Amino acid sequence: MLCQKCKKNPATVHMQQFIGGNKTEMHLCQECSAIKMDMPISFEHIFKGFLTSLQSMTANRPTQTPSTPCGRCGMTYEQFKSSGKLGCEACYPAFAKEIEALFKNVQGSTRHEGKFPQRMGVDMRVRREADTLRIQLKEAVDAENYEDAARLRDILRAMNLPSEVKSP
Amino acid sequence: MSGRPWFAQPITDEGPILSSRIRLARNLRKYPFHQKLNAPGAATMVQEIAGAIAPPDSGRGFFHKMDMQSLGEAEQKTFLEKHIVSPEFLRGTLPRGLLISDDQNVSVMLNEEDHVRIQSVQPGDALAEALTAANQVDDLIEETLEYAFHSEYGYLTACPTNTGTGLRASYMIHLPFLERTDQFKALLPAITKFGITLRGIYGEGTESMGGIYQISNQTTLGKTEGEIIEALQNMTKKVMEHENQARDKMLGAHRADQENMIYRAYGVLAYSRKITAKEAMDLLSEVRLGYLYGLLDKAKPTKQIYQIMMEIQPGHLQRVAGREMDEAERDYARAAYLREIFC
Ligand SMILES: [Zn+2]
Ligand SMILES: [Zn+2]
Repeated sequence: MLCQKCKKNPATVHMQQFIGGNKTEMHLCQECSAIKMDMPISFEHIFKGFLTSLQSMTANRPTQTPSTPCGRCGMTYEQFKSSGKLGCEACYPAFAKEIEALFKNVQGSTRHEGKFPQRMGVDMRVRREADTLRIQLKEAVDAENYEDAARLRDILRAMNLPSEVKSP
Repeated sequence: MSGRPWFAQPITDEGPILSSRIRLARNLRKYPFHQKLNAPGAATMVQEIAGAIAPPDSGRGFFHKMDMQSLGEAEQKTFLEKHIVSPEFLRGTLPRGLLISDDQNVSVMLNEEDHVRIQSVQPGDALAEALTAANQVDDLIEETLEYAFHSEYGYLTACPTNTGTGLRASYMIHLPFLERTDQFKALLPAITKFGITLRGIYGEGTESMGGIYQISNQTTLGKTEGEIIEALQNMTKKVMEHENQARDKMLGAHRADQENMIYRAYGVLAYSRKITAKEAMDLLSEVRLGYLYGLLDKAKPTKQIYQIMMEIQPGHLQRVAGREMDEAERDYARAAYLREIFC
């Protein structure tokens, strides 16, 4: 039996994993099993499984499966589905719908809340904050809570945002 | 940045948590990702990032550039066994780069699955420190180079399972009692539900060799780095509570049996003539317990137990021997190495 991961070396290590109460078996070579610290195997399974189910879901509606490859690197959706790897940053917008569905399912969220590159960080953080404030403002207005609304409007004004910055 | 590698520090033997590890995945905007990158592109990219981290005249001499192609197979394997590189990285055919700090605790793989894989390890329970060290390298790269970053999705990675923070935080943790009492089956689904995963590091069969596990976050979106780390810490605490319950039960009702196992393990490590990695790992796990809970009245070796576990792996043995060895030869060499330490 060949290693399931590299499909090159003989599988000498036989692992069992419990995912959601179900047992899955992995047959790997020494190299692939022993020292792999990074991608947890179980997660890879879930991820690949999701890609496949996404494909069968959209298979009935062929118009919805992205048929145009990524304009920058030429990666097709089929290629992405089989490897699980994207070809460049432009693949993200190219397959946005599928990737967002995947994020929701596998990651539980589509929105990055962590670190920002410094060079875009300040602007980005201010935009985010303003977005949140605008939502709160709208909620306050809808609830006819004018005291809060006025306070939020003042904060937004004080942030002194350039006029082109608008909520999406 | 100078000092000893994490595995050579006594704190790795002072509790269930051996080490704390942070990995950040990043890509440059300019280049296609790994799958679509060609050899000349890869070569330029590797040079560019290496230059950003350790410019030749910057005095940042603490990062050593390793020329992977010029390293022998055994030497390469030792990096694998130290978890500094991945098997994929060693198998790669395109130009790659590896930067390692003086103390070996911070390393950067260039052109693995992502352009940049920063890894930072600290001995014991120290994820925050590990994150700080990883962030320093991250900031250094970002000073001169532009990352692929999306305002909604965050850092863009080759695999969408890393998108967002690109962060994988993990503990290496010794859980011999949970393993022995077969409680993982019950525990794992609950852990997975919280976006955390637990698995053996040296997996073989249903057990992990030597009772050493890695517990890490699975999800990288929707949470800050701090929140991801906190969730991991909380889950690790829970796992350790289970481990401690199992331990108290075993040491309470079966203390004599436990002591017997530990002393027998010590005896085999000290006197065997031929030993497999699997057996040695499991015996070292017993001996580690013995020292940790004062059950073994023998002088503790100056080397940390995990360091010994690492040095009995094939790459390390072959590197010391200076030649290729088949499995049987390695089993003899392993026993000789262990006798020197324990006999
Ligand atoms: Zn393999
Ligand atoms: Zn692309």
